[in-house]
Amino acid sequence: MQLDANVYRCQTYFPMVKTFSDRLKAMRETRGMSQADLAKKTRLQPTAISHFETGARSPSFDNLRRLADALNVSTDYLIGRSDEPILSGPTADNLFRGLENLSEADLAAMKMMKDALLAKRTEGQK
Amino acid sequence: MISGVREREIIQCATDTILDAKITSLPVDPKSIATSIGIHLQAWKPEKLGISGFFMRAGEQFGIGYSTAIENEGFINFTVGHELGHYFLGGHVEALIGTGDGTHYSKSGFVSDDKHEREADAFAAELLMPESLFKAALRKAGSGITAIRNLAVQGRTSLVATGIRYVKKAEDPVAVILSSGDRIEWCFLSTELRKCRGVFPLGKNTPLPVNSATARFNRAQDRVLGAETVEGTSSLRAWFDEAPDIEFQEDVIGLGHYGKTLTVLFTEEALGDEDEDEEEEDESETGLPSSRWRHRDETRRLD
Repeated sequence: MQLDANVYRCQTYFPMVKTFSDRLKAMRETRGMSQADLAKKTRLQPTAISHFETGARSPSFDNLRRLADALNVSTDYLIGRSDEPILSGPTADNLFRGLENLSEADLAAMKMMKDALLAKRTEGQK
Repeated sequence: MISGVREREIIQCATDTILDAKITSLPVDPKSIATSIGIHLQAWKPEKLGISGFFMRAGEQFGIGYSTAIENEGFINFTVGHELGHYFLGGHVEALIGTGDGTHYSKSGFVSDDKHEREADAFAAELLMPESLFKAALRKAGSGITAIRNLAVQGRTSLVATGIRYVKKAEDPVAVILSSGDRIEWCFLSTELRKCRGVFPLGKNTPLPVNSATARFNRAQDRVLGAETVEGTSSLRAWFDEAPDIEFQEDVIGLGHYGKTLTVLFTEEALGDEDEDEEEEDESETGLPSSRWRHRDETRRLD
Protein backbone atom coordinates (compact mmCIF):
# COMPACT_ATOMS: atom_id res chain seq x y z
CA MET A 1 0.00 0.00 0.00
CA GLN A 2 2.86 2.33 0.81
CA LEU A 3 4.31 1.69 -2.63
CA ASP A 4 1.02 2.64 -4.27
CA ALA A 5 1.04 5.90 -2.36
CA ASN A 6 4.58 6.69 -3.44
CA VAL A 7 3.87 5.91 -7.09
CA TYR A 8 0.79 8.07 -6.93
CA ARG A 9 2.82 10.85 -5.46
CA CYS A 10 5.35 10.69 -8.28
CA GLN A 11 2.55 10.75 -10.80
CA THR A 12 0.91 13.71 -9.16
CA TYR A 13 3.98 15.88 -8.81
CA PHE A 14 4.91 15.80 -12.44
CA PRO A 15 1.78 17.13 -14.15
CA MET A 16 1.67 20.24 -11.98
CA VAL A 17 5.29 21.10 -12.67
CA LYS A 18 4.87 20.41 -16.39
CA THR A 19 1.66 22.44 -16.61
CA PHE A 20 3.22 25.29 -14.68
CA SER A 21 6.35 25.35 -16.84
CA ASP A 22 4.40 25.28 -20.09
CA ARG A 23 1.85 27.86 -19.04
CA LEU A 24 4.42 30.21 -17.57
CA LYS A 25 6.43 30.22 -20.77
CA ALA A 26 3.35 30.54 -22.99
CA MET A 27 1.90 33.43 -20.96
CA ARG A 28 5.25 35.22 -20.83
CA GLU A 29 5.52 35.00 -24.62
CA THR A 30 1.89 36.04 -25.05
CA ARG A 31 2.60 39.13 -22.96
CA GLY A 32 5.66 39.82 -25.13
CA MET A 33 8.10 39.63 -22.24
CA SER A 34 11.61 38.24 -22.15
CA GLN A 35 12.73 36.18 -19.17
CA ALA A 36 14.71 39.24 -18.04
CA ASP A 37 11.59 41.43 -18.30
CA LEU A 38 9.59 39.02 -16.19
CA ALA A 39 12.42 38.67 -13.70
CA LYS A 40 12.56 42.43 -13.27
CA LYS A 41 8.82 42.72 -12.83
CA THR A 42 8.69 39.95 -10.24
CA ARG A 43 11.96 40.86 -8.49
CA LEU A 44 13.23 37.34 -9.12
CA GLN A 45 16.51 36.27 -10.69
CA PRO A 46 16.40 35.67 -14.49
CA THR A 47 17.85 32.21 -13.82
CA ALA A 48 14.86 31.46 -11.58
CA ILE A 49 12.47 32.21 -14.47
CA SER A 50 14.54 29.98 -16.74
CA HIS A 51 14.52 27.19 -14.15
CA PHE A 52 10.77 27.47 -13.69
CA GLU A 53 10.23 27.23 -17.46
CA THR A 54 12.42 24.18 -17.84
CA GLY A 55 10.92 22.52 -14.78
CA ALA A 56 14.29 22.42 -13.06
CA ARG A 57 12.92 24.31 -10.07
CA SER A 58 9.55 24.28 -8.34
CA PRO A 59 8.00 27.62 -7.42
CA SER A 60 6.98 28.67 -3.94
CA PHE A 61 3.57 30.23 -3.29
CA ASP A 62 5.36 33.56 -3.07
CA ASN A 63 6.96 33.03 -6.49
CA LEU A 64 3.63 31.92 -7.88
CA ARG A 65 1.83 34.99 -6.65
CA ARG A 66 4.45 37.37 -8.03
CA LEU A 67 4.41 35.62 -11.41
CA ALA A 68 0.62 35.65 -11.60
CA ASP A 69 0.54 39.37 -10.72
CA ALA A 70 3.18 40.21 -13.32
CA LEU A 71 1.46 38.22 -16.06
CA ASN A 72 -2.02 39.31 -15.01
CA VAL A 73 -3.34 35.75 -14.78
CA SER A 74 -4.66 33.68 -11.91
CA THR A 75 -2.42 31.45 -9.86
CA ASP A 76 -4.93 28.66 -10.48
CA TYR A 77 -4.33 28.97 -14.20
CA LEU A 78 -0.56 28.86 -13.86
CA ILE A 79 -0.64 25.66 -11.81
CA GLY A 80 -3.27 24.01 -13.98
CA ARG A 81 -6.21 24.12 -11.60
CA SER A 82 -8.20 26.24 -14.02
CA ASP A 83 -8.15 26.52 -17.79
CA GLU A 84 -9.27 30.13 -17.61
CA PRO A 85 -6.40 32.62 -17.27
CA ILE A 86 -8.61 34.93 -15.22
CA LEU A 87 -9.77 34.31 -11.66
CA SER A 88 -12.39 31.61 -11.36
CA GLY A 89 -14.16 29.30 -8.96
CA PRO A 90 -14.39 29.72 -5.19
CA THR A 91 -11.92 27.11 -4.01
CA ALA A 92 -9.55 26.94 -1.08
CA ASP A 93 -6.73 24.63 -0.10
CA ASN A 94 -5.26 24.20 3.28
CA LEU A 95 -2.20 22.67 4.78
CA PHE A 96 -1.93 22.08 8.46
CA ARG A 97 -0.13 20.16 11.14
CA GLY A 98 -1.44 17.31 13.24
CA LEU A 99 -4.32 16.23 11.01
CA GLU A 100 -5.16 13.43 13.37
CA ASN A 101 -5.96 15.94 16.10
CA LEU A 102 -8.55 18.03 14.26
CA SER A 103 -11.32 19.11 16.59
CA GLU A 104 -14.62 20.88 15.93
CA ALA A 105 -12.98 24.12 17.05
CA ASP A 106 -10.12 23.60 14.58
CA LEU A 107 -12.54 22.92 11.75
CA ALA A 108 -14.58 26.00 12.69
CA ALA A 109 -11.41 28.12 12.59
CA MET A 110 -10.61 26.76 9.13
CA LYS A 111 -14.12 27.49 7.92
CA MET A 112 -13.83 31.05 9.22
CA MET A 113 -10.50 31.51 7.46
CA LYS A 114 -11.85 30.06 4.23
CA ASP A 115 -14.81 32.45 4.31
CA ALA A 116 -12.50 35.40 5.01
CA LEU A 117 -10.18 34.53 2.12
CA LEU A 118 -13.00 33.93 -0.32
CA ALA A 119 -14.55 37.26 0.69
CA LYS A 120 -11.22 39.01 0.10
CA ARG A 121 -10.92 37.25 -3.21
CA THR A 122 -14.40 38.29 -4.30
CA GLU A 123 -13.60 41.84 -3.20
CA GLY A 124 -10.46 41.78 -5.32
CA GLN A 125 -12.39 40.64 -8.40
CA LYS A 126 -14.84 43.57 -8.26
CA MET B 1 16.82 14.33 7.34
CA ILE B 2 17.20 17.47 5.22
CA SER B 3 20.05 17.29 2.72
CA GLY B 4 22.89 19.79 2.95
CA VAL B 5 21.92 21.39 -0.36
CA ARG B 6 18.30 21.75 0.68
CA GLU B 7 19.31 23.13 4.07
CA ARG B 8 21.35 25.84 2.38
CA GLU B 9 18.35 26.68 0.16
CA ILE B 10 16.16 27.01 3.24
CA ILE B 11 18.70 29.23 5.01
CA GLN B 12 18.97 31.42 1.90
CA CYS B 13 15.20 31.66 1.59
CA ALA B 14 14.83 32.72 5.24
CA THR B 15 17.71 35.19 4.87
CA ASP B 16 16.08 36.74 1.79
CA THR B 17 12.80 37.02 3.66
CA ILE B 18 14.50 38.89 6.51
CA LEU B 19 16.32 41.18 4.07
CA ASP B 20 13.09 41.93 2.20
CA ALA B 21 11.44 42.76 5.52
CA LYS B 22 14.41 45.05 6.37
CA ILE B 23 14.91 43.36 9.75
CA THR B 24 18.27 44.13 11.33
CA SER B 25 17.81 43.09 14.98
CA LEU B 26 16.01 40.57 17.14
CA PRO B 27 13.18 39.85 17.62
CA VAL B 28 11.92 38.85 14.19
CA ASP B 29 8.14 39.21 14.19
CA PRO B 30 6.66 36.63 11.80
CA LYS B 31 3.17 38.10 12.10
CA SER B 32 4.41 41.46 10.82
CA ILE B 33 6.13 39.72 7.91
CA ALA B 34 2.91 37.88 7.07
CA THR B 35 0.70 40.96 7.19
CA SER B 36 3.22 43.05 5.23
CA ILE B 37 2.78 40.73 2.25
CA GLY B 38 -0.98 40.54 2.56
CA ILE B 39 -1.30 37.17 4.29
CA HIS B 40 -4.46 37.07 6.39
CA LEU B 41 -3.82 36.06 10.03
CA GLN B 42 -6.38 34.48 12.27
CA ALA B 43 -6.05 33.23 15.84
CA TRP B 44 -8.42 30.78 17.46
CA LYS B 45 -8.61 29.29 20.90
CA PRO B 46 -9.79 25.68 21.08
CA GLU B 47 -10.82 24.21 24.40
CA LYS B 48 -8.16 21.55 24.22
CA LEU B 49 -4.86 21.07 22.41
CA GLY B 50 -5.27 20.25 18.74
CA ILE B 51 -3.46 21.51 15.68
CA SER B 52 -1.12 24.42 16.27
CA GLY B 53 -1.59 26.13 12.92
CA PHE B 54 -2.61 25.87 9.30
CA PHE B 55 -1.92 27.52 5.97
CA MET B 56 -4.67 28.19 3.47
CA ARG B 57 -4.94 29.50 -0.07
CA ALA B 58 -7.96 30.73 -1.98
CA GLY B 59 -6.78 31.82 -5.40
CA GLU B 60 -4.50 34.78 -4.81
CA GLN B 61 -5.44 35.12 -1.15
CA PHE B 62 -3.38 33.40 1.55
CA GLY B 63 -4.06 32.91 5.21
CA ILE B 64 -2.34 31.55 8.29
CA GLY B 65 -4.31 30.33 11.28
CA TYR B 66 -2.67 29.81 14.66
CA SER B 67 -4.00 28.28 17.83
CA THR B 68 -3.66 30.11 21.14
CA ALA B 69 -4.35 26.93 23.13
CA ILE B 70 -0.78 27.22 24.35
CA GLU B 71 -0.47 30.82 25.47
CA ASN B 72 3.19 31.15 24.77
CA GLU B 73 4.39 33.89 22.44
CA GLY B 74 7.43 31.91 21.39
CA PHE B 75 5.38 28.85 20.50
CA ILE B 76 2.92 30.96 18.49
CA ASN B 77 5.74 32.77 16.69
CA PHE B 78 7.26 29.45 15.73
CA THR B 79 3.89 28.24 14.43
CA VAL B 80 3.47 31.35 12.25
CA GLY B 81 7.10 31.05 11.10
CA HIS B 82 6.47 27.43 10.20
CA GLU B 83 3.40 28.30 8.12
CA LEU B 84 5.40 31.07 6.40
CA GLY B 85 7.84 28.32 5.46
CA HIS B 86 5.08 26.64 3.47
CA TYR B 87 4.48 29.95 1.69
CA PHE B 88 8.09 30.86 0.92
CA LEU B 89 9.75 27.51 0.24
CA GLY B 90 9.88 26.13 -3.26
CA GLY B 91 8.34 22.70 -3.71
CA HIS B 92 5.54 23.20 -1.18
CA VAL B 93 3.01 24.15 -3.85
CA GLU B 94 2.87 20.55 -5.02
CA ALA B 95 2.48 19.39 -1.43
CA LEU B 96 -0.61 21.53 -1.06
CA ILE B 97 -2.17 21.38 -4.46
CA GLY B 98 -1.05 18.11 -6.02
CA THR B 99 -2.20 17.29 -9.49
CA GLY B 100 -3.65 20.54 -10.68
CA ASP B 101 -6.86 18.66 -11.56
CA GLY B 102 -8.83 20.34 -8.80
CA THR B 103 -8.23 17.61 -6.26
CA HIS B 104 -7.69 18.76 -2.69
CA TYR B 105 -5.11 16.90 -0.73
CA SER B 106 -5.75 18.61 2.54
CA LYS B 107 -7.02 15.51 4.26
CA SER B 108 -4.53 12.98 3.01
CA GLY B 109 -1.32 12.12 4.77
CA PHE B 110 0.38 13.48 1.68
CA VAL B 111 0.04 17.14 2.60
CA SER B 112 1.42 16.66 6.07
CA ASP B 113 4.33 14.73 4.66
CA ASP B 114 7.14 14.82 7.22
CA LYS B 115 9.62 16.19 4.72
CA HIS B 116 7.64 19.38 4.20
CA GLU B 117 6.97 19.75 7.91
CA ARG B 118 10.66 19.41 8.71
CA GLU B 119 11.55 21.94 6.03
CA ALA B 120 8.98 24.41 7.39
CA ASP B 121 10.39 23.91 10.91
CA ALA B 122 13.91 24.56 9.64
CA PHE B 123 12.69 27.70 7.87
CA ALA B 124 10.99 28.93 11.06
CA ALA B 125 14.20 28.46 13.07
CA GLU B 126 16.25 30.33 10.46
CA LEU B 127 13.66 33.08 10.20
CA LEU B 128 13.18 33.68 13.92
CA MET B 129 16.79 33.12 14.91
CA PRO B 130 18.90 34.11 11.88
CA GLU B 131 22.49 33.07 12.30
CA SER B 132 24.08 36.51 12.15
CA LEU B 133 21.75 38.04 14.75
CA PHE B 134 21.56 34.92 16.90
CA LYS B 135 25.31 34.40 17.11
CA ALA B 136 25.86 38.00 18.15
CA ALA B 137 23.27 37.55 20.90
CA LEU B 138 24.73 34.17 21.87
CA ARG B 139 28.10 35.70 22.69
CA LYS B 140 26.48 37.90 25.34
CA ALA B 141 23.89 35.42 26.59
CA GLY B 142 25.85 33.53 29.25
CA SER B 143 25.67 29.74 29.41
CA GLY B 144 23.28 26.91 30.18
CA ILE B 145 19.62 27.63 30.86
CA THR B 146 20.49 31.27 31.53
CA ALA B 147 21.71 31.63 27.96
CA ILE B 148 18.65 29.91 26.52
CA ARG B 149 16.31 32.06 28.58
CA ASN B 150 18.11 35.27 27.58
CA LEU B 151 18.04 34.31 23.93
CA ALA B 152 14.38 33.28 24.11
CA VAL B 153 13.46 36.64 25.60
CA GLN B 154 15.42 38.53 22.95
CA GLY B 155 14.06 36.51 20.06
CA ARG B 156 10.55 35.99 21.50
CA THR B 157 10.97 32.33 20.82
CA SER B 158 10.11 29.26 22.88
CA LEU B 159 12.65 27.69 25.23
CA VAL B 160 12.60 24.47 23.23
CA ALA B 161 13.16 26.09 19.82
CA THR B 162 15.80 28.37 21.31
CA GLY B 163 17.50 25.46 23.06
CA ILE B 164 17.84 23.56 19.79
CA ARG B 165 19.22 26.64 18.06
CA TYR B 166 21.57 27.31 20.98
CA VAL B 167 23.13 23.86 20.88
CA LYS B 168 23.55 23.99 17.11
CA LYS B 169 25.38 27.32 17.23
CA ALA B 170 27.27 26.96 20.54
CA GLU B 171 31.04 26.86 20.33
CA ASP B 172 31.37 25.10 23.71
CA PRO B 173 30.64 21.44 24.55
CA VAL B 174 26.87 21.46 25.14
CA ALA B 175 24.02 18.94 25.10
CA VAL B 176 20.34 19.90 25.17
CA ILE B 177 17.98 17.12 26.21
CA LEU B 178 14.18 16.97 26.34
CA SER B 179 12.73 14.42 28.74
CA SER B 180 9.51 13.37 30.40
CA GLY B 181 9.22 10.96 33.31
CA ASP B 182 12.31 8.79 33.38
CA ARG B 183 12.88 8.83 29.61
CA ILE B 184 14.67 11.02 27.08
CA GLU B 185 12.62 12.25 24.11
CA TRP B 186 15.46 13.76 22.12
CA CYS B 187 18.99 15.03 22.50
CA PHE B 188 21.06 17.49 20.48
CA LEU B 189 24.83 17.91 20.83
CA SER B 190 27.03 20.87 19.93
CA THR B 191 29.77 20.35 17.37
CA GLU B 192 32.39 20.61 20.09
CA LEU B 193 30.78 17.95 22.27
CA ARG B 194 30.44 15.60 19.30
CA LYS B 195 34.20 15.57 19.06
CA CYS B 196 34.45 14.04 22.50
CA ARG B 197 35.13 10.32 22.63
CA GLY B 198 32.09 8.18 23.35
CA VAL B 199 29.53 10.96 23.01
CA PHE B 200 26.64 10.28 20.64
CA PRO B 201 23.08 11.66 20.50
CA LEU B 202 20.89 9.77 22.97
CA GLY B 203 17.93 8.14 21.26
CA LYS B 204 14.25 8.43 22.07
CA ASN B 205 13.24 6.41 25.16
CA THR B 206 16.78 6.17 26.52
CA PRO B 207 16.44 6.09 30.34
CA LEU B 208 17.66 9.16 32.21
CA PRO B 209 20.68 8.54 34.45
CA VAL B 210 19.00 7.50 37.71
CA ASN B 211 20.90 9.86 39.98
CA SER B 212 20.98 12.84 37.65
CA ALA B 213 19.43 16.15 38.68
CA THR B 214 17.00 15.74 35.77
CA ALA B 215 15.76 12.32 36.90
CA ARG B 216 15.24 13.58 40.45
CA PHE B 217 13.47 16.70 39.13
CA ASN B 218 11.11 14.69 36.94
CA ARG B 219 9.98 12.56 39.87
CA ALA B 220 8.12 15.65 41.15
CA GLN B 221 5.68 16.52 38.36
CA ASP B 222 4.58 19.68 40.16
CA ARG B 223 8.07 21.07 39.68
CA VAL B 224 7.80 20.41 35.93
CA LEU B 225 4.36 22.03 35.74
CA GLY B 226 5.56 24.92 37.89
CA ALA B 227 8.40 25.65 35.44
CA GLU B 228 10.94 25.41 38.25
CA THR B 229 14.67 25.28 37.61
CA VAL B 230 17.50 23.46 39.33
CA GLU B 231 21.22 23.51 38.82
CA GLY B 232 23.34 20.43 39.41
CA THR B 233 26.41 18.67 38.14
CA SER B 234 26.84 15.36 36.35
CA SER B 235 29.65 13.27 35.11
CA LEU B 236 29.54 13.16 31.32
CA ARG B 237 29.92 9.40 31.68
CA ALA B 238 26.67 9.17 33.61
CA TRP B 239 24.91 10.25 30.42
CA PHE B 240 27.19 8.67 27.83
CA ASP B 241 28.59 5.28 28.87
CA GLU B 242 31.80 5.50 26.85
CA ALA B 243 32.56 9.15 27.54
CA PRO B 244 35.37 10.46 29.77
CA ASP B 245 34.57 11.07 33.42
CA ILE B 246 34.36 14.86 33.20
CA GLU B 247 32.15 17.00 35.38
CA PHE B 248 29.49 18.98 33.49
CA GLN B 249 26.99 21.54 34.74
CA GLU B 250 23.45 20.21 34.55
CA ASP B 251 20.78 22.92 34.32
CA VAL B 252 17.19 21.70 34.41
CA ILE B 253 13.95 23.59 33.74
CA GLY B 254 10.34 22.39 33.74
CA LEU B 255 8.36 23.45 30.70
CA GLY B 256 5.07 24.07 32.51
CA HIS B 257 1.89 22.76 30.90
CA TYR B 258 3.95 21.23 28.10
CA GLY B 259 4.72 18.63 30.78
CA LYS B 260 8.31 18.04 29.71
CA THR B 261 11.71 19.02 30.99
CA LEU B 262 14.62 20.71 29.24
CA THR B 263 18.13 19.88 30.41
CA VAL B 264 21.36 21.59 29.39
CA LEU B 265 24.67 19.82 30.02
CA PHE B 266 27.60 22.13 29.52
CA THR B 267 31.08 23.00 30.60
CA GLU B 268 33.20 26.02 30.00
CA GLU B 269 36.32 23.95 30.62
CA ALA B 270 38.29 22.64 27.67
CA LEU B 271 37.82 18.91 27.13
CA GLY B 272 41.42 17.88 27.59
CA ASP B 273 43.40 15.26 29.40
CA GLU B 274 40.87 14.07 31.95
CA ASP B 275 40.97 10.56 30.57
CA GLU B 276 44.49 10.50 29.29
CA ASP B 277 45.63 7.54 31.36
CA GLU B 278 42.72 5.46 30.27
CA GLU B 279 43.20 6.43 26.64
CA GLU B 280 46.85 5.46 26.73
CA GLU B 281 45.93 2.04 28.05
CA ASP B 282 43.42 1.69 25.25
CA GLU B 283 46.00 2.77 22.71
CA SER B 284 48.35 -0.01 23.77
CA GLU B 285 45.49 -2.46 23.35
CA THR B 286 44.75 -1.53 19.80
CA GLY B 287 48.05 -0.20 18.54
CA LEU B 288 46.27 1.32 15.57
CA PRO B 289 44.96 4.79 14.92
CA SER B 290 41.18 5.02 14.65
CA SER B 291 38.52 7.66 14.57
CA ARG B 292 38.43 7.37 18.33
CA TRP B 293 42.03 8.53 18.60
CA ARG B 294 41.51 11.25 16.10
CA HIS B 295 38.73 12.55 18.36
CA ARG B 296 41.16 12.60 21.24
CA ASP B 297 43.72 14.54 19.19
CA GLU B 298 41.12 17.12 18.29
CA THR B 299 40.18 17.62 21.91
CA ARG B 300 43.81 17.96 22.88
CA ARG B 301 44.26 20.81 20.49
CA LEU B 302 41.90 22.75 22.73
CA ASP B 303 44.48 22.91 25.49
